[in-house]
Amino acid sequence: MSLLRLVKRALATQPWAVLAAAVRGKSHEKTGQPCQDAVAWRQTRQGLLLGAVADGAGSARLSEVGSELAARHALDHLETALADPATWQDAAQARTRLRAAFETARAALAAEAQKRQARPADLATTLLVCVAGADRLWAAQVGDGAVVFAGADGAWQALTRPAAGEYLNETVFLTSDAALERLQIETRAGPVRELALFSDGLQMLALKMPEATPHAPFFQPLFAWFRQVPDPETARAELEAWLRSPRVTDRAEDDLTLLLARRRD
Amino acid sequence: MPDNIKLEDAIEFAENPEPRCPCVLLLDTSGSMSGEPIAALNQGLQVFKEQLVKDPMACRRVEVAVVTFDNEIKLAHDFTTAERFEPPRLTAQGQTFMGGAIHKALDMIQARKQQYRANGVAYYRPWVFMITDGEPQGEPESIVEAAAQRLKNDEAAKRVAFFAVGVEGANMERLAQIVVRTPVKLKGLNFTEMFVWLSRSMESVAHSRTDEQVALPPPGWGTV
Repeated sequence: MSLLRLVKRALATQPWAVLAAAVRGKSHEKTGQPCQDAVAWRQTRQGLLLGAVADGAGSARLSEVGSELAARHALDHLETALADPATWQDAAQARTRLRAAFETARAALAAEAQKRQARPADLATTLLVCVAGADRLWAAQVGDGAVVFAGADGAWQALTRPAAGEYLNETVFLTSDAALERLQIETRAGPVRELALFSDGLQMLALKMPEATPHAPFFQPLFAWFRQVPDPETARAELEAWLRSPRVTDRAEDDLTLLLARRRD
Repeated sequence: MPDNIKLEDAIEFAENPEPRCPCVLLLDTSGSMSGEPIAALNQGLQVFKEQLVKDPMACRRVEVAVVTFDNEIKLAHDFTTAERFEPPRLTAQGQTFMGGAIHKALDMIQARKQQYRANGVAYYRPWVFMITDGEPQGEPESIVEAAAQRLKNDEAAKRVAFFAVGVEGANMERLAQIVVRTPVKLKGLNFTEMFVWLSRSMESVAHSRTDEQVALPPPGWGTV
């Protein structure tokens, strides 16, 4: 059996099918800035999905470094913490563990800034994280974007929401002084069938604001497509092509990042 | 379930109102502005409109209002999006009721925000851009002092970003006492370049996201 086939078989036995894409925004193409968003995920041996989306600030010169580091360090921390199955079983742990993951990510940015003789604000990024099992979902977030999910009834709900500052363009970043005070931590008990994490680029299209209600005609067809798309490579190419299509970019100029996950069972 | 769902056809977007980025131009039309200065200012307003409409997003999001002040404080143009902005033809006469004008601009911003909130419209931090060639004149000093104090409070609470530009003859020291941000001295009557810069700055606000004050590129049209 080829290595590729082995990998594919291993992936197909994981409880979550995951699809993610991050594409550079139109406004960044104009100014020659790179895509400053980062997306990362992994599945633990216990069958938990750890996901992260980080959106680097356009105004910060090293934000693509910041977003990548923040996502990776937060997931590293959670993976270690959740290696002990008791952590996940104890709902009271959620708050402590998620907060510690954000503290770790924030410290990693401060250390990197020092190494590069930069200010932490030069690595400014938002950070959204989820931990998902069959019957429970944890989410935490600093800044805008959202973590949304559908339970057994297929109805979409937001778990965390865009940080509501007075002004649209003034959000809070992981490197901000108030980051940990503004950290949202939410947990939900009950079946989770599908979930999505996305950066602020998509939030005006995917959420009804200011309540931040997920727009069902956005998510339902997206997941209907995700359920029938044959293989991960095709799926990612199609998702990226859609994120780059004029219908999307006419209304969203920022970097666009989306992580989709659905239960296979 | 159809076999081949096309994302582009299948997905519908949430209908959210276009976010707004309000900007009040607070313009000195006192007697000393008559002649060349007011002509240059009128031309500058046309340039401002032309520049804004070139950027589709700024065109939908930036809302411009114009308030003039001499012996009267007048709403010369109420808030409209850039595409509907019709620059008024300004004339110059009388004294300089600057304190009252600042109050008027701050009142308008407050009221506009209430309207946005009532209609579920997201918005950016409002800008006030004041242009003068003099100093407060003809008003009770208490009005000017109250305006300066209110401006300090509003800037500290991030309710507004207030910029002042002094044309030749402006009392820059006095201006610096009234506004919080360092006033800029216009070079000659270079309103065209100034409005091009203002339009670019508004565009960058309409496209931006930040957790601090909007950092503006240093203007080539004036000196600090």
